[in-house]
Amino acid sequence: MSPSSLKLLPLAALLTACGPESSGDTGRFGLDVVMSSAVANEVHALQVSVLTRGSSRSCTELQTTCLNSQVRREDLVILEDARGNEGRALRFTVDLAAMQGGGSQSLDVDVPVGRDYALVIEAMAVGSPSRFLGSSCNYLKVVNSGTNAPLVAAPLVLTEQACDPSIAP
Amino acid sequence: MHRHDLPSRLGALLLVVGLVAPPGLAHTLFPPPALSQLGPASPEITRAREQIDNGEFEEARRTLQAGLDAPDVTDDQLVELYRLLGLTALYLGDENQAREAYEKLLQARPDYELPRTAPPKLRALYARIKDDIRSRRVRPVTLDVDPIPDARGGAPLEVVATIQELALGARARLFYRRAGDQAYNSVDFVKDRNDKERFLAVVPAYDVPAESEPYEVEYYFEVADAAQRRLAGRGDSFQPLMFQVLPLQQAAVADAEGSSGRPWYKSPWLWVAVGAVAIGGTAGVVALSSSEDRGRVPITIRVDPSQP
Repeated sequence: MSPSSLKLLPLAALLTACGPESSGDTGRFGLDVVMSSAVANEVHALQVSVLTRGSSRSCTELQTTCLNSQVRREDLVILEDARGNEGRALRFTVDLAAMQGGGSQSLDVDVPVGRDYALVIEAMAVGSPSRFLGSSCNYLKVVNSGTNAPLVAAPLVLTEQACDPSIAP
Repeated sequence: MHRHDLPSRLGALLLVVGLVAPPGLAHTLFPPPALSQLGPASPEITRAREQIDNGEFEEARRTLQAGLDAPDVTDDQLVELYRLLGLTALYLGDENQAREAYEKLLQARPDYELPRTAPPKLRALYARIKDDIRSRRVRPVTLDVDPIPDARGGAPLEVVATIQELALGARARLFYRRAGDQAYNSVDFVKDRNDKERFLAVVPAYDVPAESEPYEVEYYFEVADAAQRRLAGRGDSFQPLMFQVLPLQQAAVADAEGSSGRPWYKSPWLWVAVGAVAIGGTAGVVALSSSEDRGRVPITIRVDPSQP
């Protein structure tokens, strides 16, 4: 092999390294949310939203009432669910039968990689308009595409308010 | 008589009448400006003024809201829009909206007062709102900016900052001077059109020329309100921060590396690099268009029967 060919070896190695990341390297971490029985008796759907500048927010205050009355629309990042639906808030219908029997329900939310978020899960009761039953607010220091540390989520307890928590996509 | 004598004679006549007329007549000859007739103009401002003068306050409120939502509204226009909105809200008896509007107006014009011609009822309401606003705690401005790294001279120097809760009428500026100089120059941070909290300041190239020897530049950041009170900052004029402008030689060495004798465009490495960038760029575009940079957050919900 000529010396000039040797010079090209690092470049060739660099180019062959291009390509999709391995599928096992996704940014997954668990957010285990416990819901009280009082909420479970009435909940119809869960609405998930993620706020920017999480550290500047007070989760205690955010949990008192509907999120949409406390933040601006542009504070919410665009989320995506496992089916590819996008929106500033994702709504999941609750599988009460599974949960009442001691099981659990999983929701997958894809969040833009970034730092300093707050993730809010609002429990909604069926009706027209929907009613706010309570929410769980959690600080997310970082969301990256690597392995993330598990989080302890705030429990979802009944703090019913006369407001409609719906957030348009 | 010259043709242009007529307007000047008419003007003189009006002046004489104005001076000798009784006060009541003078009042009708020179009526006070309507409450709305002050400040800068935009189509919405002009229309809202007419609507206020005609007593069409609900319509005026809608016009002003549209004016506030319009793109590229200047600070002066914003002040005028909030002034008119406050006035309209007072007339409509909407104290909450008046308070919001005047709060924004007073951030920009702390000394603003209603015209003396405003009805006493409105003036009393405005005074109460002003007292309320002054006794309330104002949300602090936050300035998030990284120190300026050492730079190469002879090129504009861009500094990006994130500023939150910047009050109307407040200015964020970068002050700088060559170490040893007495006076500071300053450049304003300008708001990004696409991101309300992202601001950019540019130090012109002629203020940081490339020289044969390195030199230091002292600087500080400051956000000040309309009354020049400092709201936030990093460093100050007495304790400035500092960065170094690298010497020409050092910059030239970096440029010269890799081009030994032959013209740069004849270097095979250049064309290899161009090819690699083209391949990498294409791959990057394909990757970006096919998948966004996201991380998945799996959430598990379960019911705790022990919790009521």
